[in-house]
Amino acid sequence: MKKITIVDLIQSPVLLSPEKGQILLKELKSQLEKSKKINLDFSGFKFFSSSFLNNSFGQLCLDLNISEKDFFNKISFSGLSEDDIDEINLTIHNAQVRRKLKKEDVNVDKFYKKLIPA
Amino acid sequence: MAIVIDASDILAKNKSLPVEGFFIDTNILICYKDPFGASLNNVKQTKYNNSITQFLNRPKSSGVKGYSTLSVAIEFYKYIQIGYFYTQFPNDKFEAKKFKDLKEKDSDFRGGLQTYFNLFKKIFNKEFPILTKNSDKIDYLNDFDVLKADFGDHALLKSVLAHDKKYHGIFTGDADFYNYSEEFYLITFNNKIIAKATSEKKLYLNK
Repeated sequence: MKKITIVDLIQSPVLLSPEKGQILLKELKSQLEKSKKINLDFSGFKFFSSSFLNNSFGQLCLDLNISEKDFFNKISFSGLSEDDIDEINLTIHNAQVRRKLKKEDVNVDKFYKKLIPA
Repeated sequence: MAIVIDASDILAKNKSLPVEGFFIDTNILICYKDPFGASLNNVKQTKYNNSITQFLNRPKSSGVKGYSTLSVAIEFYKYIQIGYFYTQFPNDKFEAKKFKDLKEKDSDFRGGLQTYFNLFKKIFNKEFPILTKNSDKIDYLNDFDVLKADFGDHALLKSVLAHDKKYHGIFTGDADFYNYSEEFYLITFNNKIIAKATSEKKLYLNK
């Protein structure tokens, strides 16, 4: 199993911007080609934003067509609280919903804009 | 009169807030938690989400705590309920009866809803606990003007003002709060509110 230490990879304990999420996304894609399983160690991180999660894990599920079950079969986590894991669960769930909507030919950009407060 | 606090300025200059606690409005909570991942591929919304996340993670170190009210929890619950329905039936109109039936009879629907409800519970139990003031009667309706603000905003302000002054802060993006004459701190990233407050000398200037 390949272990990735997030704070070292991102070079910051604050996991905020989508760009940082994309660094993790790129690394995950590259490692998934080589290893079947990855452990992501979040030790030492301060906080993450939902945009960081969306742009890393959410985008990974969308780009590689990964189901909720497959995601957690391939990727495990350490150094996170139960609440943090719940947020990741939600991100993965939302990626599946977004994919389902795309399959149903829903204009997702328009759809999600409606869910943003004015 | 609302005293406006520029949240960007607080962040940029690492300033302290003049309150010990503040209350979060529903619009900020939705943009912060982004329950449906709506900000993905939306540059403007992602930027806003990051600013809010930074701001909300900053005051923890300075001892300032964020709270919520029952009215905010109800508004957020409605947002989740209706938003979840639309993710399942994007072309249908929301129907409370259909929602109830699905909740009772469709285990997949129920399972998905539970994911969002876990988030709901976490927010209002831990992150922004609902702070209630039970000892006094709060008159929510006497001075409510439907043309001035939504009832949810009005109820939030009334709940906040029922608390000690050290909690008289509201973190919001909603300009309607600016029109209230009551004294409280309006914490915001909304540039229109900040510009108006600057010109009317209502901007909080921390030395």
